[in-house]
Amino acid sequence: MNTFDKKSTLLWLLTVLVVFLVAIAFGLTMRMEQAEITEIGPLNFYILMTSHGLLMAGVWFVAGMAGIQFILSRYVEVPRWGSVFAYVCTVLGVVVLLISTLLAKFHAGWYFLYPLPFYAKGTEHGLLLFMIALTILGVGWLMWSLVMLASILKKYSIAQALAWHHIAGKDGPAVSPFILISFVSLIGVTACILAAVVLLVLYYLEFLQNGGMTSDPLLMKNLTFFFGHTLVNEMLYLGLAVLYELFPRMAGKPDYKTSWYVGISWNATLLIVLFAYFHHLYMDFAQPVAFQYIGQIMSWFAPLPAAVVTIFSVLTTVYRSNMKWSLASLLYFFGVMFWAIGGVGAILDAVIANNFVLHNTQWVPAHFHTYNLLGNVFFSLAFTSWFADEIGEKKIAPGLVKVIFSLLVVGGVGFVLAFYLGGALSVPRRVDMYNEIVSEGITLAKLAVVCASLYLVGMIIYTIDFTRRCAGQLFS
Amino acid sequence: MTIQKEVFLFFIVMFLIIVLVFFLVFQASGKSGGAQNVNRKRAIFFFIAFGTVLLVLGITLPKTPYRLFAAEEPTQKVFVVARQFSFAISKFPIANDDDFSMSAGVEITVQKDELIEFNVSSFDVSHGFSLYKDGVLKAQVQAMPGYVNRLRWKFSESGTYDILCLEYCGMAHAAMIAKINVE
Amino acid sequence: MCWAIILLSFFSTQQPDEMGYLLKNIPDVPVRTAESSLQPLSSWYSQKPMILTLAYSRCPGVCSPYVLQIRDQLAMQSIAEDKFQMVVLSFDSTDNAQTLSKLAGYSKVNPPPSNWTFAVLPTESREELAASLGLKWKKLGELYDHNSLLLLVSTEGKILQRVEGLPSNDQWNRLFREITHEFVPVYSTLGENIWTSCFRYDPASGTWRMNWGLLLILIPSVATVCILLILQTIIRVGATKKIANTKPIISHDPV
Repeated sequence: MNTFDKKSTLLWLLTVLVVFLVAIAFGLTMRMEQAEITEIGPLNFYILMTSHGLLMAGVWFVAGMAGIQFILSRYVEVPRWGSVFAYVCTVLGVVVLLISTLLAKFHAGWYFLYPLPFYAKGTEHGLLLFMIALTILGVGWLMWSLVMLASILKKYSIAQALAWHHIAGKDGPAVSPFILISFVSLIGVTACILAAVVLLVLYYLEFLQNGGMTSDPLLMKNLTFFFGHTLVNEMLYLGLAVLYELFPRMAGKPDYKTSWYVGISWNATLLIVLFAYFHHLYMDFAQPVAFQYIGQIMSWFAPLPAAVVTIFSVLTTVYRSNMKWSLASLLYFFGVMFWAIGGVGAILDAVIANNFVLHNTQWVPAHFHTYNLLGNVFFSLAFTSWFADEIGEKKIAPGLVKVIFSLLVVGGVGFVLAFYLGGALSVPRRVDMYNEIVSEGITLAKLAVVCASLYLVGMIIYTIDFTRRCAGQLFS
Repeated sequence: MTIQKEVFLFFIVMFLIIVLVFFLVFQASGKSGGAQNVNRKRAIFFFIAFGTVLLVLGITLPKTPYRLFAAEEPTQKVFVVARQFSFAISKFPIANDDDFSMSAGVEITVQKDELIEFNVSSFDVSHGFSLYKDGVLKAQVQAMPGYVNRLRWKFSESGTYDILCLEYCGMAHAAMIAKINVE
Repeated sequence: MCWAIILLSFFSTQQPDEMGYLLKNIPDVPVRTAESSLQPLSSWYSQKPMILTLAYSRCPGVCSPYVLQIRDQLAMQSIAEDKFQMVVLSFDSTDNAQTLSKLAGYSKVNPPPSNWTFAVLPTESREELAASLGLKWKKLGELYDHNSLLLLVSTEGKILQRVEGLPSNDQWNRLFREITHEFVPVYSTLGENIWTSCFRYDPASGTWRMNWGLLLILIPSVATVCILLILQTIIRVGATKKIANTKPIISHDPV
């Protein structure tokens, strides 16, 4: 591996870990406010909520980027400027974002549901800064995705990268699952960022017209969740692509091959993911019923190809494998487990009849925290740990592996369980305090505070250890 | 048992099954031998999952709230308009700010077991209109500006129902509560 | 003054208490028809939904243009005659079916459609019906001061729609939807300065029509496909040039 790849990936990962710690602290403060331990007030609560949401979505997308870029450079030549440009945009975007929320008091949520941002009095500058932050992030990530797609296309044609020759059983270059999944995810990422572009253009127009033009709230909500849902979904797949590359080797098994069913699975996923976001609009009766049905059908079929094939492959890889368990392989294996569990929570909520009583309750953060906090984060931490083992001169202490893993799992599971219970007890999400109608939320928030603290401690130890082992390489 | 609790129990059962499977495989990772007939097992696994998805879709898709009681005639129309940060609920249409101020904070009474048609809209941002009875969420619909969503509902218990906003609508979102009496 | 009141009621289509009468039962009062026999109102609405309007033929004001407008609107719609019953009811005891028919512009040469009925309300049931419908009337000498009402009554005798004055296009459309007995989950009230929307709800047909705003949701996917094809084309062209320059394509195999 060349020095540039090593150093740039290291810089990406260190940035991710630091921003992650900050974002956890924001989330923890929100739960403390709900537990009535602190009293920061609603404005600060929603400022933190907005920051927490976008930071988390962004940081783990970026972690996926780092992994993809690093592994991809083993297959094809990846231009360096793409990585540098995306890094600069990401850091700049995060800084502007934090200014827009913490200083300019923008607090309309990271998904800034139209027309709420225009109704928050006194935060017009915040809105403008927030839109600028999103624009910077969007431009950086879009360019990065296009650079990666172009790099893949230098070696493979579109049909080859989508493994159509594997599906048809025809001759052609062997396309690894990593290339296939990366390609599929990058296409999805491009589409969802373009949706954000359309959304932002409409926001800018309305902002400049100062009320002279308004948009259809239903149209804006569709665009918002096309962007928001798909981004969060694809960032998980970015982590999975790296898993397909690294995990079999950790188990001492031969590399995963792109068979016809893996090919079909990910081609199907490419399409299905684009329609699953409809489930965010179940309670908007204005959306045509056909779209609602498509939403549920696609949400239920979405996990079939990607999840079923991946889960089965991971299980058979580990079964009787003589696996030497490391932090990386543990995080991958159990990350897949929690991803499956979060998936069950997700598809239960994607049943329209259930969503009628679960929509915007804590069931929603429950399931997405399960496959983010315990799934996607685990995938990216697994890559980070593997990367540290590759480049670091010092090894991680076996005892520390147990401590970190236990803290993350116990803290994470307890944390999401508080949310699931909240969902079962009809506790609403996105509220800074619980009134007497849903007062169970306070007790659950206290449980969540304890568990999130454990998780945070685990992450602090992890970050310190990672820095100790690798940070020197940055300046070598 | 409420739908939420049924879903939660089902989830916990699935949670335990998944943990058990992964734990057993984890335990077996030290043994030698390797898995056999992987392709056949994968096919079985896939078809079971595929069948389950079809079954669930077949059972649950007809139970959507969109055409709830669509074949019956409602006995009462109730108009609901949300605005930062309160609800106006009335048996008369709420067309403008004056109508809104007349109805905001007024508790109306409807009859138990009668078919009520809620006409839900918003004057500013997106809100949520949700019906809680003793802290349990019974039904909800979004209150989106520019649209009137119609939710038909029969109250099965008498007493006071709480109405909470379930879509984040700004700083005082958590305090946006109204009540409706059922006799 | 009288004219002012009539004109006001004619143009203000959104009275605040307009829908307070909705879903209430109307009294099944007897009315006098062309055959001079008394028939209960239910004999019309019990079979199919009834559109009811109140007018009197000697009216010097809006009654004639009002009924003519209703006639023209109904004629424009494609709803079959057997789907609803149209009743023009007079609260003036000097009226009869013939005078009312003339008010609606019909004659022996030009007879009304089969679903039209003209009837006169006997004096003794006037108060009861007026109260239940919100009909405001006052005798002024030989004439009446009154508001113009259009009602849709269900086969159970419930008021489904009540419009004071002339219905707007939207109100007409809703009325026709109710006649076909379909539950409509959503009405759109998007304002005038909306530049586009995803869907446009057409109350007349009860269906959602896709609007061009929906294209905005398709842009991201279509643009992505275009970008991919363009990228591939550029790269292929570049690669061919490189081969011409006898430079090998860089190829890295997995480590």
